[in-house]
Amino acid sequence: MKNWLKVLRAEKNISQDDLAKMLNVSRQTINSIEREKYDPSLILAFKIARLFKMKIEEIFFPDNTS
Amino acid sequence: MQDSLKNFNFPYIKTILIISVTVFLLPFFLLPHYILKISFTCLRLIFITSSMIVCSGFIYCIVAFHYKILKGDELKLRIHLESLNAAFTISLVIFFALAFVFLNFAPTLLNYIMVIIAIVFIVSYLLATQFIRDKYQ
Repeated sequence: MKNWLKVLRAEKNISQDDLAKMLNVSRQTINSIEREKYDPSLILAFKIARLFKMKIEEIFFPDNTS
Repeated sequence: MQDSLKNFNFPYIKTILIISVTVFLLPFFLLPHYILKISFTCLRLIFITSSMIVCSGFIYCIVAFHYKILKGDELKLRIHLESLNAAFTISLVIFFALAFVFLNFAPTLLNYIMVIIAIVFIVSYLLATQFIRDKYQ
């Protein structure tokens, strides 16, 4: 799964640590999601979408190469 | 009942772990000095009591560790569950291999199979945690 989390976070000028605190997860989780090593749960995806005031599919989208 | 269990946050984990380890190791340090002086019944009673305290302590710590991860970060939960899965599979394979070897070649070693499997499980869990953590970083 690909995502725009890193770009969105940079646009809002939020650090990984701050985003992790806002979403009540660890910084490692945010880092893994940004590096596309880990797909978040549906609840976390909703929280991220709500935080950036976007739809889930605007942030996360399937990787067509795999 | 379920709500109270959900809200229970498992206090004094470190203290209980330290007490359990101390009680586990205490007989090894104390008994050699007194082993000839005390009766067999008393010795059995000491072992039963100490092992019961140790088992209760370790079970409490394991349950607490598991519930803390369940309530916490989702990546840590994923790593924990995948590690448990790997450790369980490895232990099961080693259990069958050891059971075959011990049954056919060394039946007396069957007495120790649970201890061996417990150690294998703990070691494989720790190793699996490291590998899986690397996978997500």
